[in-house]
Amino acid sequence: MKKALILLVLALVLTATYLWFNPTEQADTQYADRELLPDYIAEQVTRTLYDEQGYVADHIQAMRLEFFERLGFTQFEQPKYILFDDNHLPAWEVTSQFGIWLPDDKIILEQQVRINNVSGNELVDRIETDNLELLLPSKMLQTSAAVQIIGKGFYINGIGLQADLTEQNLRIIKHLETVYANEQN
Amino acid sequence: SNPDYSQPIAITSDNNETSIKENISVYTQNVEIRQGSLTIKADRLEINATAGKGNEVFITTGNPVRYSQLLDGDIPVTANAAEIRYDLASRTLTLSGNAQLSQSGSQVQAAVIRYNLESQQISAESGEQQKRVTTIFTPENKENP
Repeated sequence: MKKALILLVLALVLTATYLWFNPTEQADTQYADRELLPDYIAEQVTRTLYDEQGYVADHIQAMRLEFFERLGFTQFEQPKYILFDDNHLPAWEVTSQFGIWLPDDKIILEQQVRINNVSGNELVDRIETDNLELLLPSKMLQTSAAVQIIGKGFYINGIGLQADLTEQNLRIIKHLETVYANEQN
Repeated sequence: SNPDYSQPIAITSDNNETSIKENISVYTQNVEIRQGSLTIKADRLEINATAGKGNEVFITTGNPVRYSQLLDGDIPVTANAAEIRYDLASRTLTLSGNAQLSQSGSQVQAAVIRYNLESQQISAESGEQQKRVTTIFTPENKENP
């Protein structure tokens, strides 16, 4: 009878220790979930950065912004990013449904990406694609998705684009077709 | 159907690069231009749009550049040259560098040949000052000028 009692006590002690160490795992998953929660959320956001001479260097607006400290990035909904030319005038307006701003000043834009030329009478009016990487401050754009460049009286279809918005150079990686409407003026 | 020169122009090629600052778009490798029955095949095409929409100049170069078109829907015209310039506004092709143009059996060879796509008038310059070769082709059955 005594033997059975010892065995019982032993079993109880073992389960107790097992339970004792086990709960910490639950705590870990809670910790991981918290990492996926934004540190702060902002709505109708406008952020403007000025350079040393006081000119606007960076201007971004968004419907909603979520900042993730530990993961080190900011997520935007319907961002509108304005790029300025050397004379500090707005040259390009970049919009999309979603954007992620990574720490090394790389912005990844997703869904209905539009790059609109806002500096008036230029050869190219806008560029349309599905996703895009915007590298700052060099203002280089790149995508491997299908892309369309729409200009005055023509459009260019291709796959993949590398653009230098400072030099105003657009290079289609794989050109498919260009069409000039050639309306008789 | 309306004449070739008033139709949209389609361009295919492997590569394309555009300089917005200079208003120039360059197409390289397997360049083909189509406009109605007009086709131009070249190694390189540069489109200069500094004069604005509708006044673009298409400059093609190749070894040689090859042009072909059907006049009035069925008379084939073909030409080749080191460079063919297509000026949209004046609807004129300027062939230079061993330019040759042939239509219904006859052929013009010259340093520079100008061919107006609308009037179908051709003028050729031999390049050497003393001898000037000009041959005019006017299609026979042109009922409605």
